[in-house]
Amino acid sequence: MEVYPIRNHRRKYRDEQLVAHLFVFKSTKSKITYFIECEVFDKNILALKFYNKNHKESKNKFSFLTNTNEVWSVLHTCIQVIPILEKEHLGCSFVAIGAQGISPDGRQEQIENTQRYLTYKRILFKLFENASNYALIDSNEHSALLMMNILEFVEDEKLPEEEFNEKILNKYVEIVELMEEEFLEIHNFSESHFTSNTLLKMPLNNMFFKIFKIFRK
Amino acid sequence: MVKKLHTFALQIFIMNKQAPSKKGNLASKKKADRLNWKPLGTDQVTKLSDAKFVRFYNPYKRLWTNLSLK
Repeated sequence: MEVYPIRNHRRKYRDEQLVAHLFVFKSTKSKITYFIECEVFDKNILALKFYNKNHKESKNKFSFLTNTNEVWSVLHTCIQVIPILEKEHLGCSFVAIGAQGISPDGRQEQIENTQRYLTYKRILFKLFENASNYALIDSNEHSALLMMNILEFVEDEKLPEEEFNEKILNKYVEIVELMEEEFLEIHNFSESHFTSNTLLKMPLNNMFFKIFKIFRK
Repeated sequence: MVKKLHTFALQIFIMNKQAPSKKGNLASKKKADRLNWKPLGTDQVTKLSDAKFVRFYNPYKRLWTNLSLK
């Protein structure tokens, strides 16, 4: 298994507020370029997302199958951003949602236990099982994963188990409120993918920019 | 110039295709058949907050714990 180097760490701002971290890596096996997008939410929550560069214009970009059989290489590469983000956002928690797969003939995977979710869970559990600062929370029903930072609770060593569980529960409820929209956005499909000519659907200025970029080379 | 046009045509082809190859499309269809995927819009998305319990892995006790949300 090969882990690809990540490059081009960029930050996206809206109203002078950091909204996302962007990274790029290229698979040497399939020659596909992937974008990693780490959206920053309130209360130090980061949502990890990645997609094929060719699908960046599509609303269903998280659901396409690439069929390149390099899932572990891609996931291990994506995991590399966690220590980078931890340094910048101390005490942050991570969220990942296993999007439903989508087939070219317009069929979708069921929402429970999606393939993506099962692989994310496997890799996160394997790598962070012994990490004392994270509690892994899973939801098979929604194919959602949360790596909750529990460093703030752990400092108090004499905390009884019941109190510890209650604190986890309270933090979970706060995070879920923030993530609800994001969750629905990922699991609700857009029909526009199935129309054939995506170029015509692209905003005009975006299209000219692309043509200009090609001719400038 | 020809080279540039060729590159442009190739970019349009990739953008329209939205999948690496025909082989990939076929593999996706086969996977959908095997896993019995259903047509779009047949699966209802429930809210995260509708969950009745939450399960978490306690790294200190090394066990999964169920907590009731309602």
